[in-house]
Amino acid sequence: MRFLAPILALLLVVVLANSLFIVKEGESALVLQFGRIEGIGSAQGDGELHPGLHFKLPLVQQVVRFDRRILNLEAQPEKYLTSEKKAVNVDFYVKWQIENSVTYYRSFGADEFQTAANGRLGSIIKNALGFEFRTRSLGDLISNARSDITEHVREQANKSTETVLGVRIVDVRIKRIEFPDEVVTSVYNDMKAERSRLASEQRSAGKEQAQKIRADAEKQAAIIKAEAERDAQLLRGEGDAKAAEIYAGAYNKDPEFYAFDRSLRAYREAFKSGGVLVLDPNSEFLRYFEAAKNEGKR
Amino acid sequence: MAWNEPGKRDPWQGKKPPQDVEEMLRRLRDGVGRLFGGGGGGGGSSGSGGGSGLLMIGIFILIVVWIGTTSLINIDARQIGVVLRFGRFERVMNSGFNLKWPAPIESVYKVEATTVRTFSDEVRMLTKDENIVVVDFNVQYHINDARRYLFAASQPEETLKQAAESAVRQQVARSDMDTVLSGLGTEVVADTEKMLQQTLDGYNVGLVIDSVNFQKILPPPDVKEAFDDANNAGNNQKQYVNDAQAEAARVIPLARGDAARIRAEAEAYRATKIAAATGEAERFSLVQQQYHLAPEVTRKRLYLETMQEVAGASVKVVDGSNGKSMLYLPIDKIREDAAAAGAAAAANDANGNRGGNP
Repeated sequence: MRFLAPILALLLVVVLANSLFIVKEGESALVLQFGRIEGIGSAQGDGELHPGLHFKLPLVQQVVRFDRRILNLEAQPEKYLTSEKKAVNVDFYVKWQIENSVTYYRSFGADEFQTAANGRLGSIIKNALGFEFRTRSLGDLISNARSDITEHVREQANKSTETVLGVRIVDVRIKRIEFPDEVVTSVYNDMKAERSRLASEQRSAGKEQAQKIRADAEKQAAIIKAEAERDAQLLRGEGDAKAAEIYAGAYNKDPEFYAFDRSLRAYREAFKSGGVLVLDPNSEFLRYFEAAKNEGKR
Repeated sequence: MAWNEPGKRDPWQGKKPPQDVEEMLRRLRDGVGRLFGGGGGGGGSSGSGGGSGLLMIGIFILIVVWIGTTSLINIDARQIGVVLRFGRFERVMNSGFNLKWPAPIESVYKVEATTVRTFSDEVRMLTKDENIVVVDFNVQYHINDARRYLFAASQPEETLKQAAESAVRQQVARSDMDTVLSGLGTEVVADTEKMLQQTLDGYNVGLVIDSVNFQKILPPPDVKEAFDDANNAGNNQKQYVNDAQAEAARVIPLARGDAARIRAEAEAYRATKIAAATGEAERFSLVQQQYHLAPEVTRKRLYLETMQEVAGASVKVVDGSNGKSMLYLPIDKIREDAAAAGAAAAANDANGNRGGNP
């Protein structure tokens, strides 16, 4: 008799613990009785239990919990071909959420870590993305169309997943589009080629400008000098002309004497360096040469 | 056994509620055991009243400790507490001293809400013109909705990273490589922040973006050399032009100097010429005046003087034959002698007048 009280107490605890359960924020739960979902079609809804304290029959009913937060699916990079048959590696992620626990349970079972659902969603999205990539050019895919594409994929996928799987796809987003390694190498080569083209273009442009500047400077210098030469010739001409005028003015007074005077100077200059002079004894210069001899004889 | 398993209620976070329910329940069970044990003992002997009193005190102390540890909650200034009642969201606790129902009725989750967190990453991205750049960026963010942060989305931080990378990539993909490399402007940054925030709002992560920063945007290391060379080429271009300009700055003044010299020389020439002509003309006028006064004598004198000078420097041969007889003149020999004499004479005459003639 004295053991009855503790046994009863223990039993009470066990029963309570097995019939009371908590559904936490961010979760939902279903109660199964021998594998059948309880409460479907009841007034409270589809048997889906929301956060809070709940009761169930101990031992005969089980609780299945579902993560109702927005979940993350990050897929392995996938290789796609674009419309121009260029290969790209695409990394994407999917945000999804269990929309209807009952439908979800029917599709995937309890699926505690969402493995089955992730696999299924992954392949749905991959197919849809593959279709989008095949029909678009790379440039289109890279630049403006990213959000378009994923929005389209999301809508397409949602059509089937929402009703069939009880899953709502919140967002599909391309994290990266990358070239395969061999293409990366050729892109790098193109980039290098482009840079070296730019480099030689700039260097050549620099040389061109430098040449122009030099040529222009040389031209200016030549012009400056040529103008100076012109002025110099003018000055010389002026000098010569003026000198000629002065000479003419003076010599014109007595041309005869000028001829005489100038001749004498010319002789002096011409014979300055010496030479052989054959003289006629009858010349003016030697007029008295013979005469003196004769006088001496006389 | 749902009560005493608080850890299981939180399968994702691995966070324990702050109160040690396990410990408390163990003590409670001990107390219950003693109650029954004490009762059994009391049936067998007297003096059970003292044991029962002790038991009541023990239970009371246990209850006080339980309430004290699970009802009185202190929330730090940087924290926000999210209170769940039987797993369901009840309210938010702000910093300071707070009260709640004891576990397991209510539990509290504390979140470092005001702390600004940073996430940074360096990723290779495609630009619009299908080139590759490496973008180094960081995102600063904090939690603005603790309830959502905890219960609305799984892996909020991971989600932020994904969304940030996607948003940055989308921005980079909008521009050409040259635009991207020359630096993304503030409007691009603002755009990225806005886009990222919108995305995150759609994911219910309860995070708010403080700022997105593009630390560095560089060409990939494999092509760095080519890019550096292109930059150098720009400098070279300037260098070439500068050199040429320096040379132009040297050549033109030199030419001006030359020009000035040429002009000056010409002016000197002109002045020399005129001066020489003037002097010569003056001389002529003076001599001519004298000549006028006594033409015969002057003429003769000038002639003889000249002849004296001319003949003085020359080898003289007087031929009285009037050119009828042949003279043998060994001109070569004579010239050699004369040259020797002339050289001596020239040496003596080095200072002789060699004025310019008209």
